[in-house]
Amino acid sequence: MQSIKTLRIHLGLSQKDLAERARVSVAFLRLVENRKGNPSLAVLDKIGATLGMELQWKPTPPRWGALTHWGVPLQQVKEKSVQSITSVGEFLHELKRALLFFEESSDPFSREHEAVLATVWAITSHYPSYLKEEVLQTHLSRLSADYKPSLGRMIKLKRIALAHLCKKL
Amino acid sequence: MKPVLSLNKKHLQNFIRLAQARLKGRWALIGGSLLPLLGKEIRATSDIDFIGLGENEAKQNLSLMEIAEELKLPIETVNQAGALFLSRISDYENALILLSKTENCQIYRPNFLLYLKLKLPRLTESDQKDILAYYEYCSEQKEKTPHKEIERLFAKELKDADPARAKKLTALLSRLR
Repeated sequence: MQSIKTLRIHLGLSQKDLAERARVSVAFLRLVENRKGNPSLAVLDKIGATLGMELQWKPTPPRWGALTHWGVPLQQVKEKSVQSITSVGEFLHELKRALLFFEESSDPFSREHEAVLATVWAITSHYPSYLKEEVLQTHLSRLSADYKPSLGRMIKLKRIALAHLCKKL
Repeated sequence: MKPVLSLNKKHLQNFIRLAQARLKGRWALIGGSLLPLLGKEIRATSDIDFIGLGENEAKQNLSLMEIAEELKLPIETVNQAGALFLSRISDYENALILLSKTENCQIYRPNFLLYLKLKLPRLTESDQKDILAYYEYCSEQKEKTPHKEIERLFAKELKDADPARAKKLTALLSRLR
């Protein structure tokens, strides 16, 4: 909640000013700013609107390190602590989350996106019973359309993914 | 679902036609792409596993890439990684069946047992489908099925298999009996 405090100061508002405008108590605002309160989304939205901000849901980055362990063909990702994926279901969930992450991405042709698409391609080709959802059709259609010039590289990435996947699935 | 890239019978026939015209030596077509060529179009495949069987063949990689390019396929479509697995099977030479032949070039396919030996280590869902389709093709061609050797092969695989793999192997074996 540091950004609320930063923005309030930037706008030259005291805690009392902001609390009054957002119709919350000063004590409560102080807690929120110090990350101690437990505000509802509605209250956060109200405080944000007063500061000229809006609440947004934003996907968090996928667990690249863990996905790499399961065969997504990326170079070993250095993460402080890799929260491992322990089941096929969890892996597929994380893979779908990665696809969602790219929906919001500013770089749709990133190396990570290629790797995830190649993995989805490998699974739909070689383990069709694991991924049947309609949403994946959209992503694979995109692969055939947008990635046509780099289809050769995608074929290679798919092979690399499959070599790992067949040890897990 | 529309496949990203799917090689059909025509692609494979054109590939074999050009391979015969441009390549020299002995080659083997293995893997999933063998099936559409033989009229068993059971799934989408994007790999042509085409292996040179000698040292001179390995030097013709550039020609292979040119063939793929001429067929408007990504050059990565043609894949020789299967050569490593084939080389690990001691008696593979005796398990090759002539697929087509010109004066300079012979192209082979594996018999059913060799196909099985190449597919069993990975055994994805598509590998299982391929094995059954190739079994059907070989039966239609009235090729002898070495049941005893198949049983032995599965028994060996089952020995070290984890429960999930053992389940797959057992289900597949029952379909081949």
